[in-house]
Amino acid sequence: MDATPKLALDRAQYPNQREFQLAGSTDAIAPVVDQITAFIADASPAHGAEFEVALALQEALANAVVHGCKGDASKTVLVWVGCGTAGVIVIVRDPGPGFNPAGIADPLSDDGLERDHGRGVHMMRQLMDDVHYERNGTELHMRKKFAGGC
Amino acid sequence: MDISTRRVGQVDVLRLKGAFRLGDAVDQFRSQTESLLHDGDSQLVINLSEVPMMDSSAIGMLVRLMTSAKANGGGVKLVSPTKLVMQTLKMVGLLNIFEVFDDDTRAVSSFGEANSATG
Repeated sequence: MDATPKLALDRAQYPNQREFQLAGSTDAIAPVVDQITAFIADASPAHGAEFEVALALQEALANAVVHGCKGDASKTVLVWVGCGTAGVIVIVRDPGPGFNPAGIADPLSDDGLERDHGRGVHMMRQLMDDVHYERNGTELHMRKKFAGGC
Repeated sequence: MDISTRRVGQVDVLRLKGAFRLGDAVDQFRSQTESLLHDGDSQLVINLSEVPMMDSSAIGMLVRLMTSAKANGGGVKLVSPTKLVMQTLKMVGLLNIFEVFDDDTRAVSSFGEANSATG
């Protein structure tokens, strides 16, 4: 279990919030993506960004499991989700050593188009309104604005 | 994800059903396509009409498959991607890499005259 401090989302900005966790196994990803998208749908029915949020979650959790946990099911990924007037925020913390997001190669370059990996962060940035990393790249923060909020 | 495979002339047509993403779906797709390539098959049609979503791992698998198939003188053609899968492929700039067809027959025929008699 991750011994690092838990994260507290601003209750005023995100009144609907929940913590999720998953083992560092690829099999654990899809059920948690489904749980989180259901939570967001309950908080904000028909928010209109179901596809974007679900795919961005898939990419975020896949990176956390594959790179942060190295597929080790004994490790844990923590996820905080908050919904409010500002839309939705998702924070994913993995137990890995971190990485430098600035070092990611452009997947749209000629070389990048022919690579069989390296598209996940680009996709999250396309799907969400804000994507950035904290804690040396071990903590992903991403936000999506919904019309009318959650 | 379910994968059904049929042979049309020299072309293998794979019909996928379900979310195509990291985990069992990608593992299953890798296993089946590696088996086809191992048997010398390199002309592949992938029907995506019943795939509601595709993640970057699945896209990576398709790119790797295309590279291997081309190296063996063949290729990979896509059929009827759903709207969201089309949007995803566009997002990562791959609509210029993969040929996309409306149905299996046209995709199979596109591999050339050698296959058209049986396609």
